[in-house]
Amino acid sequence: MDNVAQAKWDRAAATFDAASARSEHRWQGPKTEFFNAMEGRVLFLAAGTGLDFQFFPPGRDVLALDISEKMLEQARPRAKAYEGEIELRLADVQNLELEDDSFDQIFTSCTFCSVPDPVKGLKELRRVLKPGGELHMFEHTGSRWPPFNVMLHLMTPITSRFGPWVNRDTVGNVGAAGFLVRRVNNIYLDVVKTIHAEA
Amino acid sequence: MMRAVYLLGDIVANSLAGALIGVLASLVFTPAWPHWLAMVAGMFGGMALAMPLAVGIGMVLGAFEVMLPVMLTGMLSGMFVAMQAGQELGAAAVSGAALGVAALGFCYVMDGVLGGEKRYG
Repeated sequence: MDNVAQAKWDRAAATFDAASARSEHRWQGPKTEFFNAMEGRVLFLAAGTGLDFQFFPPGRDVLALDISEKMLEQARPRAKAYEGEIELRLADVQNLELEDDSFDQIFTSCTFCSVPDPVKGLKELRRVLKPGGELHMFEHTGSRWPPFNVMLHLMTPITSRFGPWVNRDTVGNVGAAGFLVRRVNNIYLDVVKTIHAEA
Repeated sequence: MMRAVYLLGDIVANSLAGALIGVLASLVFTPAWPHWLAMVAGMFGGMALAMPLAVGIGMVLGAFEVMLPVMLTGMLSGMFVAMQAGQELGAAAVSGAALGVAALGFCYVMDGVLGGEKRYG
Protein backbone atom coordinates (compact mmCIF):
# COMPACT_ATOMS: atom_id res chain seq x y z
CA MET A 1 0.00 0.00 0.00
CA ASP A 2 1.31 3.47 -0.93
CA ASN A 3 1.10 5.16 2.48
CA VAL A 4 1.74 8.67 1.14
CA ALA A 5 -1.11 8.43 -1.38
CA GLN A 6 -3.35 6.82 1.23
CA ALA A 7 -2.73 9.60 3.77
CA LYS A 8 -3.37 12.26 1.12
CA TRP A 9 -6.76 10.82 0.16
CA ASP A 10 -7.70 10.14 3.79
CA ARG A 11 -7.15 13.87 4.41
CA ALA A 12 -9.15 14.79 1.30
CA ALA A 13 -12.12 12.60 2.29
CA ALA A 14 -13.68 15.17 4.64
CA THR A 15 -14.12 17.79 1.90
CA PHE A 16 -14.31 15.50 -1.13
CA ASP A 17 -18.09 15.65 -1.62
CA ALA A 18 -18.19 19.43 -1.27
CA ALA A 19 -15.36 19.80 -3.79
CA SER A 20 -16.66 17.25 -6.31
CA ALA A 21 -20.45 17.19 -6.17
CA ARG A 22 -20.98 20.02 -8.68
CA SER A 23 -18.60 18.46 -11.19
CA GLU A 24 -20.54 15.22 -10.90
CA HIS A 25 -23.75 17.17 -11.50
CA ARG A 26 -22.29 18.92 -14.52
CA TRP A 27 -21.03 15.63 -15.94
CA GLN A 28 -24.18 13.64 -15.24
CA GLY A 29 -25.08 13.23 -18.95
CA PRO A 30 -21.66 11.96 -20.11
CA LYS A 31 -21.21 9.85 -16.97
CA THR A 32 -24.59 8.15 -17.30
CA GLU A 33 -23.77 7.30 -20.93
CA PHE A 34 -20.27 6.18 -19.94
CA PHE A 35 -21.36 3.75 -17.21
CA ASN A 36 -24.23 2.38 -19.34
CA ALA A 37 -21.68 0.10 -21.04
CA MET A 38 -21.20 -1.93 -17.81
CA GLU A 39 -21.58 -5.67 -18.41
CA GLY A 40 -20.39 -8.89 -16.76
CA ARG A 41 -17.96 -8.92 -13.82
CA VAL A 42 -16.83 -5.32 -13.38
CA LEU A 43 -13.94 -3.77 -11.47
CA PHE A 44 -14.40 -0.09 -10.65
CA LEU A 45 -11.94 2.41 -9.27
CA ALA A 46 -11.59 4.73 -7.61
CA ALA A 47 -14.74 4.35 -5.52
CA GLY A 48 -14.05 7.54 -3.55
CA THR A 49 -17.12 8.46 -1.51
CA GLY A 50 -19.35 6.63 -3.98
CA LEU A 51 -20.55 9.71 -5.88
CA ASP A 52 -20.33 7.76 -9.16
CA PHE A 53 -22.63 4.94 -8.00
CA GLN A 54 -25.67 7.09 -8.88
CA PHE A 55 -24.70 6.74 -12.56
CA PHE A 56 -24.34 2.91 -12.56
CA PRO A 57 -27.10 1.08 -14.41
CA PRO A 58 -29.08 -1.11 -11.98
CA GLY A 59 -28.43 -4.80 -11.51
CA ARG A 60 -24.67 -4.87 -12.10
CA ASP A 61 -22.05 -6.85 -10.14
CA VAL A 62 -19.20 -4.49 -9.25
CA LEU A 63 -16.07 -4.71 -7.11
CA ALA A 64 -15.20 -1.08 -6.23
CA LEU A 65 -11.74 -0.23 -4.89
CA ASP A 66 -10.24 2.77 -3.18
CA ILE A 67 -6.94 3.48 -1.45
CA SER A 68 -8.59 5.48 1.35
CA GLU A 69 -10.55 3.85 4.16
CA LYS A 70 -12.04 7.23 5.06
CA MET A 71 -13.42 7.54 1.51
CA LEU A 72 -14.84 4.02 1.69
CA GLU A 73 -16.57 4.81 5.00
CA GLN A 74 -18.56 7.48 3.17
CA ALA A 75 -19.13 5.23 0.16
CA ARG A 76 -20.76 2.41 2.17
CA PRO A 77 -24.30 3.89 2.44
CA ARG A 78 -24.23 4.73 -1.27
CA ALA A 79 -23.14 1.18 -2.14
CA LYS A 80 -25.92 -0.21 0.04
CA ALA A 81 -28.50 2.01 -1.67
CA TYR A 82 -27.46 0.77 -5.16
CA GLU A 83 -29.94 -1.61 -6.85
CA GLY A 84 -27.37 -4.25 -7.61
CA GLU A 85 -24.16 -5.56 -6.06
CA ILE A 86 -21.30 -3.26 -5.10
CA GLU A 87 -18.55 -4.76 -2.96
CA LEU A 88 -16.17 -2.17 -1.52
CA ARG A 89 -12.55 -3.02 -0.86
CA LEU A 90 -9.46 -1.13 0.30
CA ALA A 91 -6.71 -1.54 -2.31
CA ASP A 92 -3.78 0.13 -4.04
CA VAL A 93 -4.09 -0.18 -7.84
CA GLN A 94 -0.29 -0.37 -8.09
CA ASN A 95 -0.35 -3.71 -6.18
CA LEU A 96 -3.69 -5.43 -6.63
CA GLU A 97 -4.36 -8.58 -4.62
CA LEU A 98 -6.63 -9.94 -7.33
CA GLU A 99 -6.28 -12.96 -9.61
CA ASP A 100 -5.15 -12.69 -13.22
CA ASP A 101 -7.84 -12.55 -15.95
CA SER A 102 -10.70 -12.15 -13.49
CA PHE A 103 -12.79 -9.22 -14.85
CA ASP A 104 -14.76 -8.67 -18.06
CA GLN A 105 -14.53 -4.90 -17.78
CA ILE A 106 -12.74 -2.27 -15.75
CA PHE A 107 -14.13 1.23 -15.25
CA THR A 108 -12.11 4.09 -13.80
CA SER A 109 -13.31 7.54 -12.84
CA CYS A 110 -10.79 10.35 -12.21
CA THR A 111 -8.31 7.77 -10.95
CA PHE A 112 -5.13 7.89 -13.01
CA CYS A 113 -4.67 11.60 -12.32
CA SER A 114 -3.83 10.49 -8.79
CA VAL A 115 -2.00 7.17 -8.95
CA PRO A 116 1.70 7.89 -8.19
CA ASP A 117 2.96 5.44 -10.85
CA PRO A 118 0.14 5.40 -13.44
CA VAL A 119 1.77 2.96 -15.89
CA LYS A 120 2.39 0.45 -13.08
CA GLY A 121 -1.25 0.78 -12.01
CA LEU A 122 -2.49 0.35 -15.57
CA LYS A 123 -0.33 -2.76 -16.02
CA GLU A 124 -2.00 -4.19 -12.91
CA LEU A 125 -5.40 -3.51 -14.48
CA ARG A 126 -4.29 -5.27 -17.66
CA ARG A 127 -3.20 -8.27 -15.58
CA VAL A 128 -6.57 -8.69 -13.87
CA LEU A 129 -8.60 -8.02 -17.03
CA LYS A 130 -9.58 -11.05 -19.13
CA PRO A 131 -7.92 -11.26 -22.57
CA GLY A 132 -9.95 -9.02 -24.87
CA GLY A 133 -11.58 -7.40 -21.84
CA GLU A 134 -12.49 -3.72 -21.93
CA LEU A 135 -11.00 -0.77 -20.07
CA HIS A 136 -13.29 2.28 -19.85
CA MET A 137 -11.86 5.44 -18.30
CA PHE A 138 -13.44 8.80 -17.43
CA GLU A 139 -10.39 10.94 -16.69
CA HIS A 140 -8.98 14.42 -16.81
CA THR A 141 -5.58 14.83 -18.42
CA GLY A 142 -3.14 17.44 -19.61
CA SER A 143 -3.94 19.36 -22.77
CA ARG A 144 -2.17 19.33 -26.13
CA TRP A 145 -3.28 22.91 -26.65
CA PRO A 146 -0.48 25.32 -25.53
CA PRO A 147 -2.26 27.89 -23.26
CA PHE A 148 -4.10 25.20 -21.31
CA ASN A 149 -1.05 22.94 -21.33
CA VAL A 150 1.02 25.71 -19.69
CA MET A 151 -1.68 26.44 -17.10
CA LEU A 152 -2.11 22.78 -16.18
CA HIS A 153 1.65 22.31 -15.83
CA LEU A 154 1.91 25.39 -13.61
CA MET A 155 -0.95 24.17 -11.42
CA THR A 156 0.28 20.62 -10.98
CA PRO A 157 2.94 21.26 -8.28
CA ILE A 158 0.15 22.74 -6.13
CA THR A 159 -2.75 20.42 -6.96
CA SER A 160 -0.66 17.25 -6.58
CA ARG A 161 0.06 18.14 -2.93
CA PHE A 162 -3.63 17.96 -2.04
CA GLY A 163 -5.13 15.88 -4.83
CA PRO A 164 -4.52 15.06 -8.49
CA TRP A 165 -1.82 15.72 -11.04
CA VAL A 166 -3.58 17.77 -13.73
CA ASN A 167 -1.03 17.45 -16.54
CA ARG A 168 -0.89 13.70 -17.17
CA ASP A 169 -0.81 12.06 -20.61
CA THR A 170 -3.20 9.29 -19.61
CA VAL A 171 -3.93 8.17 -23.18
CA GLY A 172 -0.19 7.68 -23.69
CA ASN A 173 0.06 5.84 -20.36
CA VAL A 174 -2.74 3.45 -21.38
CA GLY A 175 -0.79 2.58 -24.53
CA ALA A 176 2.47 2.29 -22.55
CA ALA A 177 0.82 -0.26 -20.25
CA GLY A 178 0.10 -2.52 -23.24
CA PHE A 179 -3.57 -1.73 -23.89
CA LEU A 180 -4.95 -1.11 -27.38
CA VAL A 181 -6.61 2.32 -27.32
CA ARG A 182 -9.82 2.11 -29.39
CA ARG A 183 -11.61 5.42 -28.78
CA VAL A 184 -11.05 8.75 -27.03
CA ASN A 185 -14.00 11.09 -26.54
CA ASN A 186 -13.30 14.63 -25.37
CA ILE A 187 -15.99 15.77 -22.92
CA TYR A 188 -14.56 19.21 -22.08
CA LEU A 189 -11.85 20.73 -24.28
CA ASP A 190 -9.22 17.97 -24.62
CA VAL A 191 -8.88 17.81 -20.82
CA VAL A 192 -11.89 15.83 -19.57
CA LYS A 193 -12.33 12.70 -21.66
CA THR A 194 -13.39 9.09 -21.87
CA ILE A 195 -10.82 6.55 -23.03
CA HIS A 196 -11.86 3.12 -24.28
CA ALA A 197 -9.21 0.41 -24.64
CA GLU A 198 -8.81 -3.38 -24.84
CA ALA A 199 -6.42 -5.73 -23.05
CA MET B 1 -32.37 24.36 -18.26
CA MET B 2 -29.29 23.36 -16.23
CA ARG B 3 -27.07 24.19 -19.21
CA ALA B 4 -28.44 27.76 -19.17
CA VAL B 5 -27.89 28.01 -15.42
CA TYR B 6 -24.29 26.87 -15.80
CA LEU B 7 -23.74 29.27 -18.72
CA LEU B 8 -25.06 32.16 -16.66
CA GLY B 9 -22.93 31.07 -13.69
CA ASP B 10 -19.86 30.85 -15.93
CA ILE B 11 -20.46 34.39 -17.26
CA VAL B 12 -20.91 35.85 -13.77
CA ALA B 13 -17.89 33.96 -12.38
CA ASN B 14 -15.53 35.00 -15.18
CA SER B 15 -16.74 38.63 -15.16
CA LEU B 16 -16.24 38.93 -11.41
CA ALA B 17 -12.87 37.16 -11.46
CA GLY B 18 -11.70 39.39 -14.33
CA ALA B 19 -12.93 42.56 -12.62
CA LEU B 20 -11.32 41.65 -9.28
CA ILE B 21 -7.98 40.78 -10.83
CA GLY B 22 -8.13 43.89 -13.05
CA VAL B 23 -8.68 46.12 -9.99
CA LEU B 24 -5.83 44.46 -8.09
CA ALA B 25 -3.53 44.78 -11.10
CA SER B 26 -4.35 48.48 -11.43
CA LEU B 27 -3.41 48.97 -7.77
CA VAL B 28 -0.10 47.12 -8.10
CA PHE B 29 1.17 48.18 -11.52
CA THR B 30 1.96 51.89 -11.73
CA PRO B 31 3.57 53.65 -14.72
CA ALA B 32 6.89 53.28 -12.87
CA TRP B 33 6.96 49.58 -13.84
CA PRO B 34 8.89 48.67 -17.02
CA HIS B 35 6.28 47.77 -19.64
CA TRP B 36 7.50 44.23 -20.38
CA LEU B 37 8.01 43.39 -16.69
CA ALA B 38 4.48 44.59 -15.87
CA MET B 39 3.12 42.42 -18.70
CA VAL B 40 4.87 39.23 -17.53
CA ALA B 41 4.26 39.85 -13.82
CA GLY B 42 0.61 40.75 -14.50
CA MET B 43 0.11 37.59 -16.55
CA PHE B 44 1.56 35.19 -13.97
CA GLY B 45 0.24 37.15 -10.98
CA GLY B 46 -3.25 37.18 -12.49
CA MET B 47 -3.08 33.45 -13.11
CA ALA B 48 -1.87 32.79 -9.55
CA LEU B 49 -4.70 34.89 -8.10
CA ALA B 50 -7.23 33.17 -10.33
CA MET B 51 -6.33 29.71 -9.05
CA PRO B 52 -7.84 29.99 -5.54
CA LEU B 53 -10.80 31.85 -7.05
CA ALA B 54 -11.31 28.96 -9.48
CA VAL B 55 -11.19 26.40 -6.66
CA GLY B 56 -13.83 28.33 -4.70
CA ILE B 57 -16.11 28.93 -7.69
CA GLY B 58 -15.57 25.33 -8.80
CA MET B 59 -17.38 24.10 -5.70
CA VAL B 60 -20.50 25.83 -7.04
CA LEU B 61 -20.17 25.38 -10.79
CA GLY B 62 -17.89 22.36 -11.42
CA ALA B 63 -14.15 21.85 -11.65
CA PHE B 64 -12.51 22.05 -15.06
CA GLU B 65 -15.30 24.01 -16.76
CA VAL B 66 -14.54 26.74 -14.21
CA MET B 67 -10.83 26.32 -13.55
CA LEU B 68 -9.53 26.70 -17.10
CA PRO B 69 -11.64 29.72 -18.17
CA VAL B 70 -11.07 31.50 -14.85
CA MET B 71 -7.30 30.90 -15.04
CA LEU B 72 -7.31 32.23 -18.61
CA THR B 73 -9.35 35.22 -17.42
CA GLY B 74 -6.80 35.86 -14.65
CA MET B 75 -3.93 35.65 -17.10
CA LEU B 76 -5.51 38.05 -19.63
CA SER B 77 -6.92 40.49 -17.10
CA GLY B 78 -3.68 40.68 -15.11
CA MET B 79 -1.59 41.11 -18.26
CA PHE B 80 -3.83 43.66 -19.99
CA VAL B 81 -4.43 45.91 -16.97
CA ALA B 82 -0.75 45.73 -15.96
CA MET B 83 0.22 46.90 -19.46
CA GLN B 84 -2.23 49.83 -19.16
CA ALA B 85 -0.46 50.91 -15.94
CA GLY B 86 -2.25 53.70 -14.13
CA GLN B 87 -5.75 52.76 -15.32
CA GLU B 88 -8.52 53.99 -12.99
CA LEU B 89 -10.15 51.35 -10.81
CA GLY B 90 -13.53 51.47 -12.57
CA ALA B 91 -11.94 51.20 -16.00
CA ALA B 92 -9.74 48.34 -14.80
CA ALA B 93 -12.79 46.49 -13.44
CA VAL B 94 -14.67 46.92 -16.72
CA SER B 95 -11.63 45.83 -18.76
CA GLY B 96 -11.16 42.77 -16.52
CA ALA B 97 -14.84 41.81 -16.68
CA ALA B 98 -14.88 42.15 -20.48
CA LEU B 99 -11.75 40.03 -20.77
CA GLY B 100 -13.40 37.44 -18.48
CA VAL B 101 -16.38 37.15 -20.82
CA ALA B 102 -14.05 37.02 -23.84
CA ALA B 103 -11.93 34.27 -22.22
CA LEU B 104 -15.07 32.27 -21.43
CA GLY B 105 -16.36 32.68 -24.99
CA PHE B 106 -13.02 31.52 -26.31
CA CYS B 107 -13.16 28.40 -24.09
CA TYR B 108 -16.68 27.60 -25.34
CA VAL B 109 -15.47 27.91 -28.94
CA MET B 110 -12.37 25.78 -28.24
CA ASP B 111 -14.56 23.19 -26.52
CA GLY B 112 -16.55 22.92 -29.74
CA VAL B 113 -13.35 22.59 -31.77
CA LEU B 114 -11.58 20.06 -29.51
CA GLY B 115 -14.63 18.10 -28.34
CA GLY B 116 -15.85 14.86 -29.85
CA GLU B 117 -14.73 11.33 -30.50
CA LYS B 118 -11.58 10.03 -32.13
CA ARG B 119 -11.31 6.35 -33.12
CA TYR B 120 -8.13 4.30 -33.39
CA GLY B 121 -7.46 1.03 -35.21
